[in-house]
Amino acid sequence: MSKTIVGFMLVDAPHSALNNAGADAGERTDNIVRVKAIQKGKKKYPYVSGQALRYWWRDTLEQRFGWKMSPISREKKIAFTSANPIDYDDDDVFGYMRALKAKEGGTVTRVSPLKNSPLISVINQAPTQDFGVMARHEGNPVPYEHEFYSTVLKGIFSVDLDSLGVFYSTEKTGYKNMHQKLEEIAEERGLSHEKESKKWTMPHDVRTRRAQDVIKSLPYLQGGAKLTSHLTDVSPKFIVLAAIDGGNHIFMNIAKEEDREAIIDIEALKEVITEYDDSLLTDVYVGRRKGFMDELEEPLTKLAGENSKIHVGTIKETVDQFSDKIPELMKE
Amino acid sequence: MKALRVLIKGWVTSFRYPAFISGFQPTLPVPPLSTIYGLISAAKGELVTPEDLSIGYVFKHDGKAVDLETIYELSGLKGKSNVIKREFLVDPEIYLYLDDPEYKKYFEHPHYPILLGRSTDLMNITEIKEVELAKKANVKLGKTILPFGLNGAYGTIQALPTHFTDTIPRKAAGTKPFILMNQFFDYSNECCYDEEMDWGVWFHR
Repeated sequence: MSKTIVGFMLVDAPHSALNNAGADAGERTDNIVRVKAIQKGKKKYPYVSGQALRYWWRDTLEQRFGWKMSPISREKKIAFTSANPIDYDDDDVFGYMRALKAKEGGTVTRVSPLKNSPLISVINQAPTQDFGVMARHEGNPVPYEHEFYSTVLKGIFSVDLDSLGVFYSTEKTGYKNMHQKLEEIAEERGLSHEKESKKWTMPHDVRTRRAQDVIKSLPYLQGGAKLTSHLTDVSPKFIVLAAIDGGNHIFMNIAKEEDREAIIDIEALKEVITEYDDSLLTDVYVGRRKGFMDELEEPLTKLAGENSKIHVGTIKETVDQFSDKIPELMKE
Repeated sequence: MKALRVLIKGWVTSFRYPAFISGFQPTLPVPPLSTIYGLISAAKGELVTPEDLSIGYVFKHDGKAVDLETIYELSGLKGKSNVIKREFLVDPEIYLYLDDPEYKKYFEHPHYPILLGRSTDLMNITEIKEVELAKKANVKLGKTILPFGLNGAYGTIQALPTHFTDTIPRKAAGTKPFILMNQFFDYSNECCYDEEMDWGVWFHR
């Protein structure tokens, strides 16, 4: 059995420009800043790249949860983290790659236990083109063009609980997390060690705290471009959380576009929960911020009434209730 | 023949052209075999290679877009960060065929999170079905990769690995020329045929 937390979220983005694509060489003027968007036929879907979302997440964990972030060393043009998942929470949860000299142990890599999709607009939406000016200096103001959109973005993520706080020194792709010095640190810090599989495991409480922080930081997610002029609250307004046996991302298809509005497909959610009943390791927790998709209140309450394994609450309640299940999940 | 058909869907994906190292990274129109063996390995939890089973697939998507990405270019111990444009495919779905129905259990409870392409390309296993494939001539075949020189097939030709080893550093194995056939064509010879989907399935053996 493998254990994975799977999550789904919606981010409300009214008048936002969360992730920009810069200017294109083919633009008619040289100071247009475009938002990132996917073109499907005639339709456009703004999005935020997966990389940007990870940046926000990492930043929130540092700001609000006091995560010990791996110091970055810079050599000429490249920056590395320390690649020390024992002392630094982010190296463990977000993964790393670092080239070391052969005598230091060669290249070490770690696949991130936390994986996330980009945030993609549920509805098609042509970004609004707007003018801005730089007008603080004396003389003529300098105009520029930029874009923004009003939409609801969907995203999914997973946390591989089996690999969180677990490091290997095996000579196998994706498994070489450790080098000699790191193994010395592991020994010193008293990590449990399985000689045969070359596996080091952090104490249960550290692994639990890291997993809980990742989930508990969601209501405080902050970041995004153009905060000064758009100030988008990027914390999720709708969220679904569960742990399953296996790595399938079961909540991918519960949001859809209907009459140019983003909606949650309650029937699809119901179907997923029933069909994966044998894979679910926890109940399913659904959270929603009041004022966002209020039409969901009734069907969600009904759903929770019909199925005792579904819990409905505010975002904070949902995240807290689910986090309470993590210590049990982290046990062998 | 009996086969397992697995439908896997996602939101975005990108398959790197092995030869490109410039500031623009285009995506292959269909995934290489190595990507699929990687996905099957993730489901099983250990390395799966063409020696373990044969596969075929039909891959569809809904369009293309370009992302701006920070990458780290490494060469030995030196490297530098760079911003590149990376092309990606939207709403990908793949009908994956395996000649060993025993793999059903791995797709029902995949060991690792299922990804297709990059690490942000999370996927959903939507349907797992055991199917009976007939042999048939004059079928539509395509939206997949095909061996170089296959009668009637056309498209970009690219040398691609069939799988990777799990050693450090990992090595590309079984590299052969393939035709990236991103549409259907009428194949006149006999091949496996999925009646329900009405298309031919090319198994790479």
